[in-house]
Amino acid sequence: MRFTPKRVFLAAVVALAAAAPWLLPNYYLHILTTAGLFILLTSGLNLIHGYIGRLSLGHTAFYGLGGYTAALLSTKLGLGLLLTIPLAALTAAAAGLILGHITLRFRGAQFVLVTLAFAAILHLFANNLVDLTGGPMGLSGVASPLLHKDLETFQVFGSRASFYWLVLALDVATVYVVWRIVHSALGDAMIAIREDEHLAEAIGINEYRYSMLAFVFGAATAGVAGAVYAHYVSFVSPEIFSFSIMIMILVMSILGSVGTVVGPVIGSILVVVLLEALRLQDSLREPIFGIILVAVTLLFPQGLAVLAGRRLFPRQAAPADAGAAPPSAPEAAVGDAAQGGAARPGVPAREPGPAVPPAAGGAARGDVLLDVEHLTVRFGGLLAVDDVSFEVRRGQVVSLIGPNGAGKTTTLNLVTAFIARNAGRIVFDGRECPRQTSPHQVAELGMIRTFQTTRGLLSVPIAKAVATGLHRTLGLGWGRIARAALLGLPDEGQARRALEILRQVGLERDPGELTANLSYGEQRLLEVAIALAARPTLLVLDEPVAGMNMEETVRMMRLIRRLRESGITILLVEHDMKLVMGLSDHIVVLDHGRRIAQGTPAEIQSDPAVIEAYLGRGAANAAA
Amino acid sequence: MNEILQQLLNGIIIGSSYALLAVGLTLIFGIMRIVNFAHGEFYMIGGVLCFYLVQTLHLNYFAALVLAVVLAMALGAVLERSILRWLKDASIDSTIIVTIGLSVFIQNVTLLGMGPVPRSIPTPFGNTPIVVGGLTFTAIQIFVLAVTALVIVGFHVLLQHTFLGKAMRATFSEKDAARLVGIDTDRIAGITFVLGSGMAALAGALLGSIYLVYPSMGAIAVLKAFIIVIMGGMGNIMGAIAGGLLLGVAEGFVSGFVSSDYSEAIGFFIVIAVLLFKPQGLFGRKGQV
Repeated sequence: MRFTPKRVFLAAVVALAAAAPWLLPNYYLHILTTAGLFILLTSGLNLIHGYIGRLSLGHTAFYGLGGYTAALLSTKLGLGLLLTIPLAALTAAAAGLILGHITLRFRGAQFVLVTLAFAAILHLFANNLVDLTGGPMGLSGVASPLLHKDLETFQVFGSRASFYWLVLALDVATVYVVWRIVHSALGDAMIAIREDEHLAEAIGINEYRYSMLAFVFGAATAGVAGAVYAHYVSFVSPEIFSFSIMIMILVMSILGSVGTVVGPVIGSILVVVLLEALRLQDSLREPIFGIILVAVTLLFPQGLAVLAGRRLFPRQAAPADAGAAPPSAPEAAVGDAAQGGAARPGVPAREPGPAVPPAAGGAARGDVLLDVEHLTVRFGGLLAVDDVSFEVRRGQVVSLIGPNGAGKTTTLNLVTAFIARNAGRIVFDGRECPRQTSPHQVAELGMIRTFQTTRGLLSVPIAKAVATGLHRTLGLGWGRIARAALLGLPDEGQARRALEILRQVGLERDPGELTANLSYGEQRLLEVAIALAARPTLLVLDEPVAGMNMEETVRMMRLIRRLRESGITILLVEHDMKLVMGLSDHIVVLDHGRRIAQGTPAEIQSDPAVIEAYLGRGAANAAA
Repeated sequence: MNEILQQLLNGIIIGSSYALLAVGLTLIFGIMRIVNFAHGEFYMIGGVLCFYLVQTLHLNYFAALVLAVVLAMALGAVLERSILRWLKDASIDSTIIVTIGLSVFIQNVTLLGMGPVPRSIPTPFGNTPIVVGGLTFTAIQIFVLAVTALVIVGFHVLLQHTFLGKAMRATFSEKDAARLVGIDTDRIAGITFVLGSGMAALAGALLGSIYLVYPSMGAIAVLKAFIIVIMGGMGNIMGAIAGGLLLGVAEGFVSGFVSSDYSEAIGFFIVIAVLLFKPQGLFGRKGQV
């Protein structure tokens, strides 16, 4: 651990915060404790809203669940904080798991509504299940001993200061874990999901897993906040689920800056302190919150933390992830030494040097890498792909061509599992791909694709976007994920590898430049770079030069040729015949969803069926 | 048996107003790409204005009903011009946050003005129950059912048989193409918002005449409207009508046979079930008008 100015500053802030009970009267301590509880809520919400891009309005559901769990355990069983807090976290996490499973496949209105509905249902139950919850009167008499009310020696939590320290410790722990997550490959994966979930899946990021991780983490921290709150005020009522608390959390989170680690902290403290300072009537509070939501979203959606960051550190002005600089070199070196250079089980060994691997060991050029048999899919009554079979051999460039609407992109979507097929068999790299599989599982096998039309990781700097592509190569099992979230993973030269790949594809821009600022042609190159970072055995390119000018096309063509020379097998869909004929070893021609020809470029050029499909019957007769 | 028919009738009467509310929301989502969480506030404003126009200004009930809807539409026009037009190319989540902000603002300002106590709109219809074939209903219920049915049919005619309706449908299904053929999509968006707000206000004034009006009535109404819209399939107008009736009937049955405490919750359970098993909605294909 090095003493950078930033770290010294942070340590000073935490030390000062810890000393507050000696410096401030109890009244202020209470305000800070309240702010601290909101930091727990907003930090978790921020991971959900700011990183996986889901606006959850049901966060109070987990807060309330935590509160009621702790209150029930305390009043009915006499348990103390040390037991109720973890149990409340578990309850909330379990609820998060269930709710996440239902909702995380949605975004926008559906996601918002179901999360909102979940909180509303719990509110209703808390009001009506009087025997259990005390109904509208709530549960009072929640005690605050440490372990159990009968163990006199363990009754510590009596003073305001003790609660303040507890909340402070939980805040520091939560913010630390959030910081670890968002500054690791996990955060990269979450941002990729937020920006473009198809691209994320295509490079092997398990959308469900990382979305769930963020959602359950948010639920658990909210549960903890609810439990601490219940013990702190020794009372909990259905109001804990109310929408007005949700609005307050949302205001804090949006005002502070969504998608930054420090934003929720700033927003929570600011709103709580301002509310106290202004001593607003409760009835005026909500209209003002309404105005803030509208004004911030319309006028400065980036929020205060980012605005202030730009003012204070004009050079670090990259949005969303101002602090996302790669770990400093000395620290990385220490990390590697500690690792002893030993190969970890489950992590593929990485050779230094060229970022693009040669064809996988043991397999020879010319073996069948991808075998597609009788592939069929029906959309309603339309047979979009009808009994198509073809092979891709190792080291080849195979092109799928055909007139518009021939089913080329649909075929790619079927092969890469973005659409489930109705019939047919796909064998990739010796392994059978089941009919119901997700794109990231196919990517995991080494088949990486790009898209014809894509949004891309627009708000991400280009070097970081390429580093996101490395995800698959990091061997992130649950063990490594936990390590990344709690301790951080040693740097494995991702930043350096990303720069190498950028150089390799010939994208000569400032690595800190945002993807959104690239030209169209550059964005397509970047997309190939991201795919390359995922170390494809088979690279699937969907119209890589569509819409490109002459110069860009030539550049892409050279790149594809170089990639093939380096041993990557390529499956290509393309309209540009010069490129297809110049690069392909083998061509498959589709028309109306059927394969009408296949062969070498020369064979295809003289095939009457192909000429007819492209130019009509007359042309075919003339050629014959 | 009679009890079942009775609940069915009650459900259809409430459900027809729900349908009105949900159709407006569907239009606004389909044409403006705004997930309008402020929709419920127009429902509330319709009811509250109608109450004040009758109670304080002693207007004739029917005139008050019309005027309340017109005023709500005027407010809709102002909001659309001043704030929502900024959201033209915004992300869906931004539209949600802005309209939630508007909703919180409108609801709480109304609360400051009228207080939390529910009021009842005086109507010229008596409370004497009418009994036909064992079914009991009141004159106001029949009036509400008739007006909502009329408005929904009228709206259908507008959409299918007028030039404006054609332009709206075109904008709904393919905005850029609509602009290319010369449709002023901004104007269509404005008209849509005003019409949608008017439908919500009418629903609020009508249901408010059967039940009560109060500042937070819009908050639960907008949730129901969204439940219906998702149930019927986002952007499906016939789905919204069918979903509205279905939700009304389901609520009627739950409050009739289970407990009125949980009648509000049935919609939430329905929507979760729909999203789990038929996420594109219960009725028809996606994006139908």
